[in-house]
Amino acid sequence: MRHEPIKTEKLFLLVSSGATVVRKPISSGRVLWGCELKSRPETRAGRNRRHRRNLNLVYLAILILGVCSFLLLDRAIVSQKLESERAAVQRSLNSTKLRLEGLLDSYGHMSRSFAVAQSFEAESGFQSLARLLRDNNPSVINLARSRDFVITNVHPIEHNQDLLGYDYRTNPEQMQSVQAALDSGDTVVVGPVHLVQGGLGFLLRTAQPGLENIVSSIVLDFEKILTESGMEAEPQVYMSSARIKGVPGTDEEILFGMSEVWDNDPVITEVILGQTTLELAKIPSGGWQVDRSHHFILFLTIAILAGTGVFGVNYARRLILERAEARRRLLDAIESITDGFVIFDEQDRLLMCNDRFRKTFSASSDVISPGAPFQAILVDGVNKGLYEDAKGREEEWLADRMRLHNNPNGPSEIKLSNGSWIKVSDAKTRDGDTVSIQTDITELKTALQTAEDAVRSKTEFINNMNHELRAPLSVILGYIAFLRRLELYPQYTALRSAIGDDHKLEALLNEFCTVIVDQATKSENSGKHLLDLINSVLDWAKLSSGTVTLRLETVELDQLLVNLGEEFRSSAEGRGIRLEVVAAPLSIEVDPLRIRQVFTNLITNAIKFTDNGFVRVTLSTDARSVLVTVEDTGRGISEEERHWIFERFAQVDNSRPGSSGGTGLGLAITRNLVELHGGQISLTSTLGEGSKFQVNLPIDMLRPGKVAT
Amino acid sequence: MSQVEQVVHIDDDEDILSITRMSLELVGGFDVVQFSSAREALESLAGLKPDLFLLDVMMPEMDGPELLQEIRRRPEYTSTPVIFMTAKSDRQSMETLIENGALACINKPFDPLTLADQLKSLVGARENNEP
Repeated sequence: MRHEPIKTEKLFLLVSSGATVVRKPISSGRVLWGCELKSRPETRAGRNRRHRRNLNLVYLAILILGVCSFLLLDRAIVSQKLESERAAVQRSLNSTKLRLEGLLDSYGHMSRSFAVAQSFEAESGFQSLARLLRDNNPSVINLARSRDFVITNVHPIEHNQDLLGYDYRTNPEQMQSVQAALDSGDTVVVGPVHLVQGGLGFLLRTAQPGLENIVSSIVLDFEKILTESGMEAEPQVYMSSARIKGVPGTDEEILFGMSEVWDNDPVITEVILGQTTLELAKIPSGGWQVDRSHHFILFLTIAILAGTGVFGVNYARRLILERAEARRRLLDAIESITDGFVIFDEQDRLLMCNDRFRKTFSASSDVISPGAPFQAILVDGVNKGLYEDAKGREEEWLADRMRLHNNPNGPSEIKLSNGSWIKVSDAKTRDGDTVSIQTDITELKTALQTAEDAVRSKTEFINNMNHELRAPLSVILGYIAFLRRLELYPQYTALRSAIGDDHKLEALLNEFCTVIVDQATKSENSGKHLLDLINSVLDWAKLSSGTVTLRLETVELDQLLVNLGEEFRSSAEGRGIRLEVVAAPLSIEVDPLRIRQVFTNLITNAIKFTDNGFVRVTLSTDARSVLVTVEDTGRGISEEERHWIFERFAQVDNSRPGSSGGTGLGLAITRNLVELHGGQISLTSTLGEGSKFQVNLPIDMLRPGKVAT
Repeated sequence: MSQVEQVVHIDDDEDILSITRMSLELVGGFDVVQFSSAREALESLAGLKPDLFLLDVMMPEMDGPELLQEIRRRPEYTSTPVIFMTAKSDRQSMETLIENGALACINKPFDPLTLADQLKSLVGARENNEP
């Protein structure tokens, strides 16, 4: 299915991360494939407000979390403290219970011992034993013995005389315990019961072994027993109470301590006393009040954690904002550049590209999407005729492009069918991704083509001018050559024959011929000079257009210089100067025509500007160069002239005799030709003493065989 | 030096024809047959057995190199030396002409007083190099 690019108000960049493709927002106003957000464009201020709002929500969440944490932790600590306190109360109560049970047990033993002892004792013995027991056990209120259910002995007698003769059978409740003791043969604990003499007490009834219906009873003070058990120990710490556990639905009777204990969620334990269950209860003396000293530490800890959280959120937010800002700027920059930009991952799948890339390759827009393989995009373009260079050689072109893409080695160029040129610069990242920048160089290529056309036109013009100037000059110089040799004309021979012996006419003819030959010679000189000028201008034009290429051959340079010396010797001697060539055998690889042109220029210049003395050409070598010097004893060249003498159109002082008539191109062409050979030319000169031009040619042009010394 | 007796010269410039004729006839003593165009030459060559063809390069209708090809198609001229005279003095053009079968190229302007000797020398050198 084809997805046309959609102009949207806010767009997302599709970014593939591994196998996951995620959608991330980028700046508004761009065209991307198939991604649209219908909300209004978000300004920077709007984005900041949204971030601030979100941040406030985070702060509020941290605050709520802190408060909740405080409350929950406080509750847990309080609960833990309450548990701990209840456990302490429970331990105290358990201790009380154990002591109570121990006391009752020990009193039980005492009761059995008392019963055994009484079986052999009379009244006096009863009293003395009972006194002993009562004196040593302050909880014992009284002791009694009954026979056949009637109390026969009681101690102390005082205040208990009324008990003597009391028949248990008149009180079913008491009779029941007496009978239980007789039936069990063991000690029966009864109570707590309201005592006849007032107060509460435990009754310990023990049947006297071996004697029928004789039962010993010991009455214990309930309050003292509980006090002795520890119910009132540490009153500043605990509040205690005891009651009989009643039948459900009935009120229990408070027997000991304060009733409010039972209203404050007391710790309760039960002591089973036969048919009766005694409930013991304790609470802290101040009630269940929890120490809140942990509040400060807890608050401080949560405040520090919340502060750290806020700092962390702020820090993370700043990092995220910075990353987001950096990312936004990067994406903006990538979108803003006028070149196409595209990244392929290490599996050569499209990661991202900018709008310019998609516009350049819009013909393949349906396959340009995240995850698309590079080769698929390329093949699609080829199939749609996007690439001009690929037409007719698709397979070869694809192979070349893939090779350049996989092994980037400098920029390459692609010509598209629409006539535009794209310079593709691929590079590999450290992660193995391929980053490609695609620059539209159409204007550059057009300019280059225009320049090349201009150079070609210039070359053609030069060649045409060469022909058009030389052709008439050929006619001029051709005819003039014959004018200097009039005897070659048949007409001249005929005229001279017709004159015969007429000496006057012969003299006139000779005089006429002399004038003709003289003027022809001058015309020929001017014609040759004109030819030199044309040659120089055309040479310079070729050199400056870069169309001159060297034809390197092995040349015997010494011989070339010697030949030049021979060629120009007569010219030098005509000016009254010596031309010397000092050259040991040396072979070198140069363009013979061009190197001859170099030294021809230097030698003719030296002869031209030397009035007396000599011109000496010397060939030598050093470690790095082949050196040719052309030295003269001429007029010399001033320091100022030496600065520009190798520039084109430069001429030394034209006011000097013999210096006129040049193009000023000779030394410029010479330097250019030397530099084309990889060499250098230099000049030293002293006004009035002479000049020395030195040509240095690279030593690697030297060829085995002949070497100068 | 080789014996050059007859030279066929083709050039569209009448002055060059005149100067060359003077040079080759008066100085060199050659028998010179001249044509002012390639077509005229091709139409009139029958019966001629020159020792040398001297051709101009740039001519209207048919230029020198094309004329050379036509001359070479004729069995009687397959080995006749051909020398070009040209005002196009660039080395590439001259090398191309020699690669296409010319013996040599002489630059215009030429020295008419030494042209005959130059031609003899070039033809002689060629004959000396042949087996």
